[in-house]
Amino acid sequence: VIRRRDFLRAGAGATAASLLGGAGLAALGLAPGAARAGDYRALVVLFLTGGNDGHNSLVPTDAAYNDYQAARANLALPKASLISLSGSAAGHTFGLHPALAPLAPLYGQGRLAWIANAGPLVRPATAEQVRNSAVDVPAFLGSHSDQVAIQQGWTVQDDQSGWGGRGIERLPDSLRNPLGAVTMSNNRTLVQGRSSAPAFLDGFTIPADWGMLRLDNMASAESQAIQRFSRKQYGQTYANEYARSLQSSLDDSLLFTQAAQRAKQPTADFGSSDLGTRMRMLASLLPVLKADGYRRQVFLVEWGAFDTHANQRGSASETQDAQLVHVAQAVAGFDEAMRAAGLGDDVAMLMMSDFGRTVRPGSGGGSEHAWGNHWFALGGTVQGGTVHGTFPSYALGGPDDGDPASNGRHVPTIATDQVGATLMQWLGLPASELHAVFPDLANFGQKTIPLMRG
Amino acid sequence: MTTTRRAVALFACAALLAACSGDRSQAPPAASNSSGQVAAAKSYKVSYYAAARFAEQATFGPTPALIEELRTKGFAQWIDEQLAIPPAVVDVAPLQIPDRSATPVEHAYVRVTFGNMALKAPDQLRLRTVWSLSQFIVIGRRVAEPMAKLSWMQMLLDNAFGNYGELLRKVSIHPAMGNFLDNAQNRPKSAECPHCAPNENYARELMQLFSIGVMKLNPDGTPKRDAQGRIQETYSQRDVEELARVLTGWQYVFNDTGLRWNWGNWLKPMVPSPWPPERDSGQKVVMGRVFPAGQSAPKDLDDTIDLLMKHENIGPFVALRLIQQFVTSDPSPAYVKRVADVFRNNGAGVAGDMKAVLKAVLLDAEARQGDEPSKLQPGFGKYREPYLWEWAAFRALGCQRVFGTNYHLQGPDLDPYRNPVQEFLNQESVFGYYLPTDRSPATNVLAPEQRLVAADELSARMNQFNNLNWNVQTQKMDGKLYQDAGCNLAPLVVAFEKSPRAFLDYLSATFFRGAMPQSARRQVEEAIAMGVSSQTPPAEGALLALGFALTLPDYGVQQ
Repeated sequence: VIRRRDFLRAGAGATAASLLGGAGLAALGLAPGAARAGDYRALVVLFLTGGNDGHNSLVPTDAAYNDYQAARANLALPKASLISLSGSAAGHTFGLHPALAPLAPLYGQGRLAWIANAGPLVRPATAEQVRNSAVDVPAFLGSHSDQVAIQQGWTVQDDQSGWGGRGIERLPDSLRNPLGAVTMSNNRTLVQGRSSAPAFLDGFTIPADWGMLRLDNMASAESQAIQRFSRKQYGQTYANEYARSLQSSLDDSLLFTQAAQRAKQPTADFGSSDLGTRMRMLASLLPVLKADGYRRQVFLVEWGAFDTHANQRGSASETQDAQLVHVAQAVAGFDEAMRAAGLGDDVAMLMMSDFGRTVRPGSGGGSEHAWGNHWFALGGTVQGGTVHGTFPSYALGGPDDGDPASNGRHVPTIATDQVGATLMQWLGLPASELHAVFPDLANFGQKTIPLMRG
Repeated sequence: MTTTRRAVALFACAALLAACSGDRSQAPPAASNSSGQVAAAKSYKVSYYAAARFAEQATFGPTPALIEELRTKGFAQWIDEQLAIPPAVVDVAPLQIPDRSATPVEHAYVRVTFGNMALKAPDQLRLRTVWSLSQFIVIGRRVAEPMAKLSWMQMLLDNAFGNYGELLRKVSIHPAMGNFLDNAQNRPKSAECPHCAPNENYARELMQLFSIGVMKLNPDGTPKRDAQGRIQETYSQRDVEELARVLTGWQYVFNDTGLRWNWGNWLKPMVPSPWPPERDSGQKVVMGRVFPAGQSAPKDLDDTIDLLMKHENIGPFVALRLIQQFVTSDPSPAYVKRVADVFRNNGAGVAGDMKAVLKAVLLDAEARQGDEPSKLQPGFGKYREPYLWEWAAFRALGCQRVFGTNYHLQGPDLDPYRNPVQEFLNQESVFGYYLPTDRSPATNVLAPEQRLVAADELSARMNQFNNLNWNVQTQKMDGKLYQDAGCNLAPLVVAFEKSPRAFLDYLSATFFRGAMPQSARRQVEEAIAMGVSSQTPPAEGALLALGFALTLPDYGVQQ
């Protein structure tokens, strides 16, 4: 059965890379099995959509638990249910939400660190200053869409780029490659550059089949024709934008298709969630990309429905309790797969979210939008087994509560920019470029935190 | 899915619904955008091109009959007639099942019902308005009960041509929204409920997403700036907390239907709780407006709507969203202001008159300038979002009903082979599929729908039509799904068999306003020459080429 002509040019050597023009792998000296393969680092940002309640993710188990229990009331996790973390840190002992149990051994192995009370800041600010409106604070606090963008590096201008995308753009040329900034959903601020668009990676299937075109058979005249049409310029703004979307989608999908053809499925258990599926896809591709000589990549993985104004606890599918099970499975599976593939020290993950939630519960068994939040970082080069930063007080109206109405909205003590700068520096961003990527860091004496080894 | 890669059966002409000769009497002159050449004796008010373009903006897509109607009546008369059609009453009976064992058929009922209406119902402007409103006044997939969504859809249908303030009031007490953004659980702290505190979810999004937005706006929609050039926030966290107090005390109507899934009594608006502890009746102050102590929940809600409708942001806020939905992603401030002015005052002193606002959006000189192709402004237009792209294509192919309703795959869908990027009332969160402020990466062009047009969507577009040719039951490329959906592929296939030129003329008339650009014609011709062999069954070749043509930038945006 012949559906189309067979355009294979036997032995002509028309490789996909050559079709990619100046942006192709060949042009960058990258090719499958390239000799320089080895120096590879990838940052995976797991963004829990909606505002994950950090207060119920990492919980103090010493005397501070009493403050926590009193303030959180019906949201409080029973002390006996918490999964103990080894040792003490930041002046406390800690336990994890029971659903996060798979992360406790990683903490014990020194691969996983928590970052206490982190969030966006324009400049260092105390809760008292915030209560008295005596300090600049980020715009639109409490707004999901704006805080997601600001956490990811939006500077509240028409330019909607994020810190991952800007950071990748400012790496030394020797560390640049295609697919430098990648999103695994239709959200993308973090990985959007000032002048470069992120690639899109479908976590479920890499589309090789484009109607008349198959990306796994690019050595065909039809494919070349389609490459040509996707490069046409249009005089109209929107037609031209669409043409760019089409062109970059084809280019990126081609590279992902090539990698997928050689990818091996990890044996680790990622759980059954959509997040697990995406993390599995990513875990299958990274070893191939490393072997192909890619150098630096940032991936944005957004997932979840963590805006738990109500029904935060319990077993229904969109409670925090239920969703954290999927998070832990996917994260632990990913870490296991990376180590199995020999990338345990090459990949770092940062978990963050829109914002933290109020300490006080709300009607309906949930909590409201707040500000500072607890995140974690994971990887072989993470300074793990500890809690970085200063753990906040759970007293409503206490020293860390920036809310004049005493709802428990913590003012961050570590800035998002400080965490981002630490990780981008780990990827190779020169110190001289930090302020270009993180403009508000100019207001901070301390630019990074001791989150990463070496 | 790789179904298209399997066996190929000859697509017999007889399998097509219409006769092989096709019905081409409605086609315009090939590759022409001039008016009146088909029926020279008849005098039309607008050109074929302009009518097709208007149909892209105001409906789910042009059909020959709609283009003819628009040419005959002109746009203003057509809108007036559309505004006079009463809203359909959607049949709730299929969902009145005794227990909550909703099958995929029940779960698909809302999107199938809406999809069928969008394909062929005559009140296209109302339906397109419902679609547009549903993109920024969102209930999403977390509303799990089909009846809740159906009731919401009926509310949008009933209020699409009403008053925006009244729409906001109905939204605020609709049980689906009460469920989605938790206002049905919004209770103050009390002795009876010591763990309660006002739930801020609905209060915040009512302001941020449905009415005034986070930053103060000038009447033309541009942000207000202070002396230092900084934007100004519309409301504070304190205002959110206060409005949450204002909106306490609503509950679902008691479910006396005996139907367990009807726990929210989805067809009935929420009512004030009769139990005083569930309501914060103290004084509140929101954005400077005092809500006196002792007011009832309905009075507090009426005052809230009054506050929002009098806010200077709401005109440009709604104007920008509707213009973006119907016409263009980045309208001039003057266009926004003209529509906002009509929102503020319809000419008879009424604010929020949706009929007047919709006319202002669609009949504005900026919207209509490109009716003459040579006058199209370079920055005008918008991406076709996935849903509108699909529906426009299927309307153009004459499809009569949603695909796959006879099949029990994962439930009926327009395209049972495609995991839809966008569906009716199925957003992941209240922020919808895109934001009005979304800009295209790297170029910062305001293009909200752009984020949906990534590799998954684009590859699906290329495959769309040929995939639908595959019949999973017979395991053949037999066109059965098209047949069952009532589509008429005959003109497409007949033209394809006849000659490349005939095929391109057909595409031009049917999908490109009668004016398919020469460059697009060349690309499609080249793609056919390379990608379709003489042994490819004509239907398959035609459908592959159609997918290619409609994935081109010339069709992917609406200009």
